[in-house]
Amino acid sequence: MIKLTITTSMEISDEEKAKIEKVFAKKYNEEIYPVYLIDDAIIGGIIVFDGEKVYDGSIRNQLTRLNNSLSE
Amino acid sequence: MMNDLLLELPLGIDLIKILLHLLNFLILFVALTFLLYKPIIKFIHKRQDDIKKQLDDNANLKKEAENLKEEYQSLLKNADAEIEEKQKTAEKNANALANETLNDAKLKSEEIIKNAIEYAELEKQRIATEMKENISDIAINIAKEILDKDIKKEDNERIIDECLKEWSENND
Amino acid sequence: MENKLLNITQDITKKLESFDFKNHTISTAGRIISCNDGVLTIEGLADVKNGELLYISGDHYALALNLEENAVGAILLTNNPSLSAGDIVYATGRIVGVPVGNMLLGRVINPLGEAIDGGAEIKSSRYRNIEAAAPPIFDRAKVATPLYTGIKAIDCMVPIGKGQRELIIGDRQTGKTALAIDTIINQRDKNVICVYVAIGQKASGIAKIVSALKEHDAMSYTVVVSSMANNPAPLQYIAPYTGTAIAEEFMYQGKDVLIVYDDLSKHAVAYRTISLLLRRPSGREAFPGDIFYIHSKLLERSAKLSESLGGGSLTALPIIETLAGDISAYIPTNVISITDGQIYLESELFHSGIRPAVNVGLSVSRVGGSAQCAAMRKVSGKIRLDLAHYREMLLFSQFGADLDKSTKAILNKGERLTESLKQEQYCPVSMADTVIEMEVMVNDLLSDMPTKEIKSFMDAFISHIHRRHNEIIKNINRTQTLSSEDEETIKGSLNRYKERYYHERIGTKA
Repeated sequence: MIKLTITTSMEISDEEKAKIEKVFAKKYNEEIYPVYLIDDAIIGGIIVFDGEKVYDGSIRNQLTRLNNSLSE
Repeated sequence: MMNDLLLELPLGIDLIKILLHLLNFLILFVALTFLLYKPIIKFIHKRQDDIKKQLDDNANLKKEAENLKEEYQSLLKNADAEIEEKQKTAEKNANALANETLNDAKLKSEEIIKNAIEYAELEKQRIATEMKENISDIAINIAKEILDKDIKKEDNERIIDECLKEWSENND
Repeated sequence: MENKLLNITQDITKKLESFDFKNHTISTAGRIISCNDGVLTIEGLADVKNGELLYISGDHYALALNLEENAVGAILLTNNPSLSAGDIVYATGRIVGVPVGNMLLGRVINPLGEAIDGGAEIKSSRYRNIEAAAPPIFDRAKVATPLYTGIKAIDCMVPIGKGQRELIIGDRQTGKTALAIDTIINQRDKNVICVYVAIGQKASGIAKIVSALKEHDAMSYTVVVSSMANNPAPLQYIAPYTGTAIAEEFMYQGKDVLIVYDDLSKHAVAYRTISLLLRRPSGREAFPGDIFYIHSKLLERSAKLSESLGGGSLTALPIIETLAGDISAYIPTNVISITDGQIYLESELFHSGIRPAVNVGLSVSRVGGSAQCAAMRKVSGKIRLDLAHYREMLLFSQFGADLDKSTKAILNKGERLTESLKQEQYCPVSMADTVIEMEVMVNDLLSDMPTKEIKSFMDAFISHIHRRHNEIIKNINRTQTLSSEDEETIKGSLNRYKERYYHERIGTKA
């Protein structure tokens, strides 16, 4: 059983939640215990933290990466 | 016999008395010669010598004085020459020092100019980079503002779907 | 300017088009379990390395120091972040490193390589880990070239060579920092790069030092690494290693570098703070067990490299502050045993007007004569002996007894030597000038001059030599020795100058 902390910028539908859990359950081959957090600082997208890795698909992160690459 | 002689001379001249006076005179003469004449002559000779010596001395002194005067004059002449020479060397040294200082100042000013040019170049590059960053920052901030306000639920879920797709692909 | 702008917009547009929006980042992370006094306990981060830099969102950094089975102990490198349990900590994958290179010269940076002098950001193509191995034995060469401090007492009797570690130790306010700054100022035009590491000092003190360096044109070849007293202890801890990494970059390029650690006592205290917060076992005076190691690994990185590696050198001047002159305390004895000698500054000497307050008897340079030029070596042996005799006789003479002629002569000479070794701050003296002055003093040529006037007389005499007998200076600089003809010239010139000096003084007095 793996605890996943899932952060989104706004409420997401239950279908979406199911989709997320399915993908990660397959990834780890284990049952998922999801914790959903709302943080509008990420602007949009999703951040998933499994205790060891962070999957950062937030818009904030994209903007940061864009900023970094533009100022190289 | 004596009596005979005495009788022969009339006028009452006593021959013996005359002879005695002659002897007296001789003795006086000799005595005076030795006692008076000789010393006086010696004295006169001495005086003569002294005077001669003085004259010689005076002549020598005069000669010496003349020599000293010559020497003195030549020394003065040399001193002048020496002073002139010293002045020349001092001037030369001062000039050399001035030149050196001038060269140093010139080198320093060249260096300052070179540094200034380099600095100006760096500043230009720095400003260019800064502007680039500023523009990117502004652009991203604008994007952020826009996105912040306008994301709808469906769009958000679409974004999430895309992420999920990528992450599940990466597995294999 | 027009085409520059065009370039920039083109640049940005191109980059925008080629940006991969889909490549979402997947990074190793952990979560903060607890956060006390600047120490974070983190769960996760299983692959993190010792000394790795950790990133917390909001521009906070931490240093991973304790690696345990289930948690990682890290110390915060930033001040007062508002972190809470549950925050995510990212691993950056790199050991703490600093930007290195020529762009650092003239800048003031913090131990993380960020500029704090209000100037442009530090950008470099080369980074260097702050922790690095010291050069091994076969990479080193013998310390044989002198590093001139410009301070007569030191260049003459406690000479420092390039690649040496010389400790400056003394009580507070005895002139330790002043000594180091004078040495830095003296390196102008000598092709030596200087790094000044300020550990735990007041911001006003650092500002004063930087302005002094600027005033004397020393900033163009100096880097200042500054961790002030209000910086967290971990930042103060890594400051000397940052400075050393910067210096090593220049050393391996074949240059000569001088680094000053001001001061290592505060560094030890910072490390003690960190260790106690990380709950490591404490030893003597509450210092952790590896307090010797943190200094030895730092100072061992100063060396003179062999020709095959470029022949560069890194000379270290660590500074230690003692309390009440106790050089047998824990940290001072540690560092004394690591360094190649010490310069001992005494507050008694300082307050009696002898500045720099160097105690020549207790100060030592284990490299000594092999790092001195022949001219200096000749004079220094005699001077040490004379000063040693003087100190013996000084105690003796305080009894007020009548002294015989030879004792009076020794006292006389010693008094004059001590007077001529005094020096103003920010007035470095070149090697040739020191040689000439010491030659005069050691032969006791000024025994008839009152002690008070010796300083001004020697200053005037040295400038006289520069003007009139400049070839002596050139000879000394060229051949590094003082020939006997030059010696005679100096003696003769001194006698003549003495007469003139007195005539002028009598003239002005009348």
